[in-house]
Amino acid sequence: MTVFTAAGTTLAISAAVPANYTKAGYEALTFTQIGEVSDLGDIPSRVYDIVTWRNIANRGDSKAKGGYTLGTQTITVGIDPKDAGQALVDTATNSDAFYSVKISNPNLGDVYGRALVMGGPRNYGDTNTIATRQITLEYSIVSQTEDGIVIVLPT
Amino acid sequence: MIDTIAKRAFNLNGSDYAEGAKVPMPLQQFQDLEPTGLVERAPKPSKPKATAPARTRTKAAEPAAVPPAPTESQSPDMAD
Repeated sequence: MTVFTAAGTTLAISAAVPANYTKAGYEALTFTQIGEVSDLGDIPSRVYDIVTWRNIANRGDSKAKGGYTLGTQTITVGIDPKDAGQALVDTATNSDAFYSVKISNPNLGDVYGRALVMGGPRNYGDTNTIATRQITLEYSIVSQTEDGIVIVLPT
Repeated sequence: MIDTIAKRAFNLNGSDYAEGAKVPMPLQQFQDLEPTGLVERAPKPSKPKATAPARTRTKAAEPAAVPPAPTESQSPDMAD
């Protein structure tokens, strides 16, 4: 079998900045897991913009890769007032600082990155709905030469 | 690792802690979680009073006998 599900995946954050943006740098941090995650959304990675140019003389588009973004991750969690990770999300929402993020899957490995925690509005739904939050993370490069994204494949 | 106290019940990385429970964690994680109001630093345990070694009284050494210095009036040269 060569494909896997998200089962067993955890999401965790920390306010700490790694000493360097490597496996060792991130692994030196202690992360706090966000509990009751039901959907992880998009895992951060580069996605380039398309740039097009159309010369009216020949009608066809020329295309080039432009800038890129590391993306936005929207996570759905069931509201748990006792969860330390969700409490940390509230603190991070009120901060302008970037947070370290760890997404860990038992079969696919770990993905680390640096993101702004934009918020997690609550949705209580109706009587047949679990009350949830939609937490949004905005990933950013960490310097002009580094994305800050580190993927650690399982051994 | 440092000792912290749970200010209210919470779940941290899969473990449940009751209010007032001692929660050991790395200093960096405490610095993350302190602004949430979930934990506070545990007071440092009071140091047990060091018991002083039992003193044994020893007799003070006798002061060395010093002959009295001769005074002018007692000087044999001056006696005549």
